[in-house]
Amino acid sequence: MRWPRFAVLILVVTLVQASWVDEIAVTRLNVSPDLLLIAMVFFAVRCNLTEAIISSFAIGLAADIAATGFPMGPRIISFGLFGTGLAYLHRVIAIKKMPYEALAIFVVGLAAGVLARILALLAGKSGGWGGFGVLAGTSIYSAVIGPFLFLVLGWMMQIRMKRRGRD
Amino acid sequence: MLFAWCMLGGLILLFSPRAVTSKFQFAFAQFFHWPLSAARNVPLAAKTEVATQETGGRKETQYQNYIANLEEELRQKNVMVEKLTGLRSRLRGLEGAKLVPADIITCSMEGMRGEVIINRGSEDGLAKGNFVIGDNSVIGTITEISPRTANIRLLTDASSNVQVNIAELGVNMLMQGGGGNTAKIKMVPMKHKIRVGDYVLVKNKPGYLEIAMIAGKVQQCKRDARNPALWDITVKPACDIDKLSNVAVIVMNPPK
Repeated sequence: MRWPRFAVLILVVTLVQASWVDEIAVTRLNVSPDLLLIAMVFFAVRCNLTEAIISSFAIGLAADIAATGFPMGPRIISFGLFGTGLAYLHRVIAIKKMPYEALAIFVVGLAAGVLARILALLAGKSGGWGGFGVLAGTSIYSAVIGPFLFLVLGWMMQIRMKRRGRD
Repeated sequence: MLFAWCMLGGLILLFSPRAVTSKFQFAFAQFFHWPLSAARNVPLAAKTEVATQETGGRKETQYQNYIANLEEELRQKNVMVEKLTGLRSRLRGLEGAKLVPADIITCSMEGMRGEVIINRGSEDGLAKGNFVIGDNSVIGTITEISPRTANIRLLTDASSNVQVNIAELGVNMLMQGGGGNTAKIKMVPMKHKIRVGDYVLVKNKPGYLEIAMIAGKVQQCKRDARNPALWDITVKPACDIDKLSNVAVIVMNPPK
């Protein structure tokens, strides 16, 4: 793992997520993709376990920092928890085909979103979150474009798809 | 172990006061102010589509406004219908007559004149001679008519002459406009007991008014200066015409 490259990449993705991504929002609910979620799933399924844990929590931190006005903490925990879980799962079930990647993004997006909302409620910091429709829409949108962004991310991080074997 | 430490860090952030954690977010936003604002201004090809959607949205807004106007018009019509229905229930003699609601455009009551112009005309089925009611009392008759407007000569106009009865007397009398928002009834023999406050009713006129309707009240009753055997009766209209904003025109036996 090239960590400086990872840091720059996550910074760029965070900036894009915080600013430009609303331009491609769809439907009346203003559903936009979650690029950081896609990045988290990418690193969870393309890196070894330690790297996956660090990258998941780091991306969660970036997601929390970028979301000005939202409480900090829920995404670090939810991204870290599900990123780590996905990395463990990837050791058992290889997530290498595009449909599986899309499914993984969708499921992790939903689960992480629900957990983040619950954590925010538990911490008494609710407010500003969209409804379940927005969450589901974001997960679907991310799942649709995620596998294609995986190709870009893989090229940028110089991480090649291992055709055989599991970490 | 790494996972546990990261989770601990996340929990610390989660349960930290929001005033503290939000400083990180604001610091990020301030530090990366330029790239954030620049990225927000990046034009997209999809903007064209958005503009089209905005045009569609504008059309939609126009239609919504149009519908809102129609709904308001319908509501006003319903209010008018309720008023007229109430009027019909109070005035049974108007059954079979068509009541055409109209708004007052202008009202001039200067000197001996008393005239009102309404926003209904021959296109609405009105004709010369139709009686006009306001606040459930007769206020005048139509004297001039155009397709979309009509002039009403008030009962108080100097040139107005209508047949009236004074309540319970059963005697036909002629009421003339007296100007100054009053009317005069003359040629009433002294043998009739006339009291101030008696109702003055416009006599029914076949084809125009099937029942007698109130027009005013006796305001003053005194001996005629020129003929002491007669009464000089001053009548005050039953409604305050200055405060009227809409009236109804009685059209008897309207074409079906």
